Amino acid sequence: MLEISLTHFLVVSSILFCLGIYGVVTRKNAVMVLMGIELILNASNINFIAFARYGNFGLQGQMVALFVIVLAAAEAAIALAIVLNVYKTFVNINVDELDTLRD
Amino acid sequence: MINYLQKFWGGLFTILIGMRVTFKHMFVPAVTIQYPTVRPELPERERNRLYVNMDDCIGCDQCSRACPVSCIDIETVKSIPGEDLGKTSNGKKKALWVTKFDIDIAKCCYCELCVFPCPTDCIYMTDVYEFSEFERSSFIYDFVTLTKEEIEDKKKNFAEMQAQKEAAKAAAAIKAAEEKAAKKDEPGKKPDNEKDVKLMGVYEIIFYLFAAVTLVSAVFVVTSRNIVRAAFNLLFTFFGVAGIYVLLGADFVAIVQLIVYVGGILILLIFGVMITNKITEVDIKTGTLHTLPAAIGVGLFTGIVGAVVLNTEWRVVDSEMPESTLTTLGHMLITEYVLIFELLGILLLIALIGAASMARK
Amino acid sequence: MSESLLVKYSLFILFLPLLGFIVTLLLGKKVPKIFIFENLVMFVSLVLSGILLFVKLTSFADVAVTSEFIWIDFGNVPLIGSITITLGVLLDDISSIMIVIVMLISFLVHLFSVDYMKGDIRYNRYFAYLGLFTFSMAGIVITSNMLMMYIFWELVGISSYLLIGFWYEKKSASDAGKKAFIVNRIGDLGMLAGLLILFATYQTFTFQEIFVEIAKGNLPFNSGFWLTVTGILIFCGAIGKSAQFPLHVWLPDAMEGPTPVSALIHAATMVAAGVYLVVRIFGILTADAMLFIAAIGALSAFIPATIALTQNDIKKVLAYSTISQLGYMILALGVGAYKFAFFHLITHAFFKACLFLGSGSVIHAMHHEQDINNMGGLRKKMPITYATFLISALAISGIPLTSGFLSKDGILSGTFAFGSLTGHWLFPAVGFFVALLTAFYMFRLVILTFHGEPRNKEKYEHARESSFVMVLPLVVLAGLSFFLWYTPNPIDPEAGWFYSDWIETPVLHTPESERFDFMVEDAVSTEPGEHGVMYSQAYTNALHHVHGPAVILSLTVALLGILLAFLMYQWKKINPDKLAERFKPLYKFSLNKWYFDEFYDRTFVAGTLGLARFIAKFDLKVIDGIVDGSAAVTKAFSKFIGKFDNIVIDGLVNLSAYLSGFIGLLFRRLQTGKVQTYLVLVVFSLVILLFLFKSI
Repeated sequence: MLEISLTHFLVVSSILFCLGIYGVVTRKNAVMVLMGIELILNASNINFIAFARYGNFGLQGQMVALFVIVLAAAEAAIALAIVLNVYKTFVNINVDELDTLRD
Repeated sequence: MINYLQKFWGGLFTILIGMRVTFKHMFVPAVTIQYPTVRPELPERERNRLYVNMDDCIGCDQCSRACPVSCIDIETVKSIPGEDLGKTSNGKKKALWVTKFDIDIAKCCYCELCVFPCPTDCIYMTDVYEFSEFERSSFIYDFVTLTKEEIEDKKKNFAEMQAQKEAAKAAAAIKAAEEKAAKKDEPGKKPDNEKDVKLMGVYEIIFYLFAAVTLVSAVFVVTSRNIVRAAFNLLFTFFGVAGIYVLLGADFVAIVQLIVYVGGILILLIFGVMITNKITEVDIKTGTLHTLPAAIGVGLFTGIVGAVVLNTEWRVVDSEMPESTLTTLGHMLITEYVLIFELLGILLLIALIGAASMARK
Repeated sequence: MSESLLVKYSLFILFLPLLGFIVTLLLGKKVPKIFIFENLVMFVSLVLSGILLFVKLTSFADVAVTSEFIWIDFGNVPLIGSITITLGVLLDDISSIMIVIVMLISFLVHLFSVDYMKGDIRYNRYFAYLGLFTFSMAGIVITSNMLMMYIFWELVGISSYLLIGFWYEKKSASDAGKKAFIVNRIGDLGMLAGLLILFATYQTFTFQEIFVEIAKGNLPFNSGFWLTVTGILIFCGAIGKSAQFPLHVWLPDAMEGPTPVSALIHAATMVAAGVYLVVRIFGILTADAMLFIAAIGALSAFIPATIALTQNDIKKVLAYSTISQLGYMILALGVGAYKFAFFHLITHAFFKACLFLGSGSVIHAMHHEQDINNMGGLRKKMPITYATFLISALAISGIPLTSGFLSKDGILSGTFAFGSLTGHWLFPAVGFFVALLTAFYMFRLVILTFHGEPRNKEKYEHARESSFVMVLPLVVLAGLSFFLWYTPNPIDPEAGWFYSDWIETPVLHTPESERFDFMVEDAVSTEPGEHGVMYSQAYTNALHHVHGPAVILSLTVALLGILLAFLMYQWKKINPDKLAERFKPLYKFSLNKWYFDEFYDRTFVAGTLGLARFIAKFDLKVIDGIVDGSAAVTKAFSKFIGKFDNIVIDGLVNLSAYLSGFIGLLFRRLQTGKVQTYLVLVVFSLVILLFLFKSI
């Protein structure tokens, strides 16, 4: 057990990030994709806060993290509105079946 | 026949017209002036060679900045306090020594753009237009009135003053640090090493706990077939992340995370799940696409990023955990990041309106 | 007058008829009266040639005036040496006399033709052709070298062809023209061979130079045999041109041409050219060559005489008579009676021309009736024609007081002397027998045409004497058939100037081993240009010896012939038809010209045509076959290329298209339309990029 340093937090955030990507890429349900996106955003937030703590930037990192949270909220709202619209049109939200644009 | 004669007369007549013009010009006096014995009369606002009156120059650098061809080169030195540089002709107090004021008149394009911004009207255009030289280097005009020794002197003074300032600052800093250390030492004078060690231990344990919670639930989020289960795991992930925030000393952000993410976004997501899926059965199944290639790709990516993270020598500044970030963050929000703050407000408004309007239909 | 001037003068005379030819030919269509110009030109040439003869005989007696110029110089031809072709003029007594003869007869024929050919559609062209002929004949006569003679030889042939086939609308006329030319060419082939042998040996064509070389002993291929061969080969030309056996077949057919043409060409001049040639090369003939020549001459005298007995066309009789008389001349040359041969040439020219023109006058008067069986009693209607014709007939038969008597008698004496000297008695026998026949058929002709009762009353009514222009030549020619012009003594030619002074015997150049014994000179100088006596004393003696008997014999024979003719046709004591019946095969043989034409037709003509047919077939089958074959090969090849193009090239194209489709199909799978797939790809790409830029 080493002393907890920046590296630990960065490792955590990168694993979380990759899990988020995995979720985005793998999931069929649109809402599940959104959950993946939330994971990604959280991972990046951890990164910012970690650097705010261990870097020479003052509390700028935490500021940015706050902003990211706000943005995530806005984005989630919009995304869900879109998903609801899609559901109304197609009655299912499996992203692999939403490919009318391809043809 | 008539046509022919008409054309003939027409040709002849037009020739005569032209010739009349030419003929008239024989009686017009010549416009050529016998330069250089006779000088032409210049218009009033004619732009010719520049001149700088150094007595009025305050060293503001505006003319240099305005020049489109960068022909003016200015260097200044701050005056030490106590020196009196005098006033300009329009009453301004001078605070800078101008050590270099070169105009490369060969580059000058005579646009007069440097004249307008000068607050003291020390640079203006003269009516001199005959200034040919034999060497190109002679076109760089030097307007400074200080001698070389004087320039050196001023610079030295300034340097000394800077050094003094620095010393004072350093001393003050040390002093402050000492005071702070003294303050801390006052309550509980036990040099508790064990407790320190133990505190570290506790810190570690808590960290690993929260990290585990976050990661494990994240794994479940992305691999669970049941949507509702996934959503709940996401809740745990958020909690874990909030805990990590606390560990990193970002108390306010952690609270905001909990309120916004868990209380807002997660609820929203669950609402979305409910609305868009048939929930007649408890088990809401959902499938996955191309797990294997994604797993491989993501795995590789993770590996690389992890390798980068582990192998980089992060420049860590181990500073103290701040007590409360709230005031600082609040202050920063109002002063430095006020623009972003306002914009985010507008953004939220737009998002609100947009989502509402979209979801309405 | 200097020699060069004389030469230039003779050249001027030579080219005058050519000028007439060109002018008449070019302006013939535009100026209808241009024939007058032609006649004028001929007259002028005649006068000038007369002057030439006079000058030659007076100023340049015994001198052969000659001049040459280099025509083409080939330089140094590899394998042969240096070749230069020279042309030149040789004026000795013989050529001077000949040119006068040529011009005189030509002019008289011109005059005669003015009336005879009147109304013909190609009137002016006729005169142009006559001018061309005169030019060519004059060229033969005054030339100094063999090549030039050959050139003019062929020119004369052309003129003969043009004139024989003058009425070419008639197939028989155009065929006759072709026959004449082709048969002549056969003879000319031999002549060319002889020419080339001479050139190969001596590198020159000039007579004098060749003679000098031979006299030095430089023989062709260094053998006397080859000299004989050369002589015979050159004589072949004479066989062709003078219509000797076996190339005599063209002359009777040549009667298809206008009668004045027959008179000019086929009686007096062109056919005489052959004799003239032999006269020229007399100096280089060996004994064997001379024997050959004499044999040909004898045959050529005998055969046509027999044919002429039975002919019914007036012109055909005269044609065969011509061949026969030419045979006499050749025979004379063969036996060595050089002077008499030339003498006979001159006299024959005059009386034969007169006979032909007289027949022309008769034909013209009888409206182109030529069969003597339809004539008769024209004596009363055409007295002048009759008189001239009779005089000429007497001349050809050899009756004293005519020139013909002198020359013919001379020839017969010559043959007699030859026979006595060498033992070849056949020649005199033939000569005398032919004289008999000649007298007979000539007077047969006279009696049937002019005496007795007219057999075609209608034509007889319309007949009348010809115009002055046609009669004048007759009179002139008949006048020239008297003895007076040649010698004051009607019986002895040697007394006359013509025989003694005007003609000189040439020098024999053949080596003595090649000559007849009597021709070997002894003790007399033989420098060229002098009146060197060619013959030995033995010959002169023999000649004198036989002269008397020969005269008596020839006179007897001639009178016998005339008597026979009168008996059969005038007094009708012997019936010719019954005689013909009794000797039917002989009669038929004679009437059908000894079947020469049929024989030649079956052998030579058929052979040539067969060869031509074979070659044509060969060309069609083999050559065209090759061409077609190559075409077929090309076609097959192009087919193959087409198939190759279809299969291989198109295959390649199709393959490339298929490949594109296949690869496209493969890559289409990337386009899933799913964002998530793209994200995976992005992650993968990011990994790869990170690996790539790891070092940076």
